[in-house]
Amino acid sequence: MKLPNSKGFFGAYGGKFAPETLRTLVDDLEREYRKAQNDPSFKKELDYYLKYYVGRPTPLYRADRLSKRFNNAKIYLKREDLNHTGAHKINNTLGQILLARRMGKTRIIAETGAGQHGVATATVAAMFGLECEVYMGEEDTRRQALNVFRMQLLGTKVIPVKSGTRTLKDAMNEATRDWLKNVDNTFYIIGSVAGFHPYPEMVRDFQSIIGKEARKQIMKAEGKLPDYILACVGGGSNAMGIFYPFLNDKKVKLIGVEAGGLGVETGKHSATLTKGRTGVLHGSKTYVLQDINGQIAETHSISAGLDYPGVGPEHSYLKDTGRVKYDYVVDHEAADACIMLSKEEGIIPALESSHAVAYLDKMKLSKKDLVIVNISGRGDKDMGTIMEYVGKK
Amino acid sequence: MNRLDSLKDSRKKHLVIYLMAGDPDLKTTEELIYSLAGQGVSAIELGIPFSDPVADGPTIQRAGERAIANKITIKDGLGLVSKVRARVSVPIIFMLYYNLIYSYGIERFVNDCVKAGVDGAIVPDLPYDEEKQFYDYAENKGFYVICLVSPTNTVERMKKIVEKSRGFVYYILLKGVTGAQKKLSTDFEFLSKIMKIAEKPVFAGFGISTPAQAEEVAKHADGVIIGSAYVSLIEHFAGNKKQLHLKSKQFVNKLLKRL
Repeated sequence: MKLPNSKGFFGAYGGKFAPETLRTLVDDLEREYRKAQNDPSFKKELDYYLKYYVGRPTPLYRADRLSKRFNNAKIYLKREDLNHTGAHKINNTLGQILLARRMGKTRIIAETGAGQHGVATATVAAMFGLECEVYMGEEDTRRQALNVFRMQLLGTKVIPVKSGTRTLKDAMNEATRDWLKNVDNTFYIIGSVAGFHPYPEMVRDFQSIIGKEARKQIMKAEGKLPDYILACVGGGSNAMGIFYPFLNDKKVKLIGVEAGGLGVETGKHSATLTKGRTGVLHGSKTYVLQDINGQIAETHSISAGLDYPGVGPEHSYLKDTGRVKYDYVVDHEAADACIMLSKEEGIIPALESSHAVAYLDKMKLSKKDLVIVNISGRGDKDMGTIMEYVGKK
Repeated sequence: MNRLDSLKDSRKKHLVIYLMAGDPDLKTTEELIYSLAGQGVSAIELGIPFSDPVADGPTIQRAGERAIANKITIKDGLGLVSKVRARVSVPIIFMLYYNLIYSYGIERFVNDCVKAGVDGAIVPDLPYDEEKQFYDYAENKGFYVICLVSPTNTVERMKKIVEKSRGFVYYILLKGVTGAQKKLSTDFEFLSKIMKIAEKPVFAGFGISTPAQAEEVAKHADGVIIGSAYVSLIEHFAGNKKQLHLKSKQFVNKLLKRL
């Protein structure tokens, strides 16, 4: 069965919990997306930019020194960090901006946490000459000042969000409010597999290039499918992207790694699938971190990109069906993994991706295991955080 | 019989006032309800605060933050309504986001509302065609869920929303979020279309801040809903209860006179 269904549900999760003012636009978007899916010229255009602008395909790299560390299990890294702008986010922003152009929209808005999605949006908006505004929690604009400047350099206006907890969820609220006001000329590029239908499906589809490539590459290199695929999960777009083309390969074990923050018992974490319960947030029914009364919880993670109290509805579905196993690692484990991978392989992963790397240590890997870890982004943006971490140690 | 049925009275233009439960405190909200009921408003919309109110502008966001700081929950709202029911029979509607209802439990929410004397609910992030179980249960218990129509809706969808809505139809006057506007830039064409089709009262809200604007809008609808402008007044005079009650009375009187 192909999911989501016509109402945008993955089992019990998903839907179109959109305020009525956005409804017609969201329906238009869905229609336009269906048209684009069946239009070879759309695919051709997207493929062109992915190849010549983003630099795809990204390599699947056999990490020998890393493998040695884990009982000689064969470990491959999917190098999304080598994309233009340094993360997987651009796979999706490119797809969405092409849709925006088809719909005749002249203004782009986005939300961002760490700034990677913001930068990826600002980049494609610059390339196509569209006006762009990015909402970012005031707290995050301080933590990620360099990315704020990158966006500004690209011609985007960054709007610090001062409401609520002043982080990613509030940036998403504020972007939604902007969209309500400017519904006629504006396209909202959502960065994760979250939001109302068709966003979770659409973002997954644009990101599934990661898994499609990885599948071909591992078959070519090893002549077989991997035993494990690891990816970090905040909203969950890089994980959905690499998992999706393997969902029907039941022998491939898929593991999503959430941000355990200071520990899932402390209340200071972002492990939504581990500790949340079903609710409705940002347009879809999904697992949500919330208090006993249904107020959305404040979250914490060492990586701003995973610091989010919701998760894409398809992940909620995959958790309940058991197809994907979700677990977590805590802040210091992720930071240590970042340092370890830098020393072992000369690759500095983003703190988000470091969560997936850190999970290798939780598995009892042996020589016969074949593993792919999705390195969703590079760590340059996190140097301040790592410096602070090393200093404290 | 639901108290909201009284809104069918078409001999007058109706006034609905929104205020946030527990802003600045529950006692004040209670007193304001008595005062509003005494002045003859047609219904009261009682906000229950939510951490992520995407359909609200800065004024109601701030009211929500104050109420959350006071730890106001659905239970407090229910307690407040139970209490005021000893003295007033004005229709009272909760305005809240769906996650709060879902977390409380759909059936428990409807049952407890009916028991406390809450007549209905407005849920801005719940479209009429999601969560059938909630709508069906509410229908079954005679609890009215008021649906919103936006100027951006297609005529086809608008008709379905009007059909599904209970008590009245809430017409969103402007594209955007709640909040008082100096100038109302809206065309009333879509609203008159709804008025023609609807066999239930149609009230308009979002953006109305002055009695003159209320009068203008009421020419095209069965009633008006005033939210942010009233909440601003509470915010402004919260430190001086006597002034607050006086200003509230004056503002509502002015509105009633113009309708």
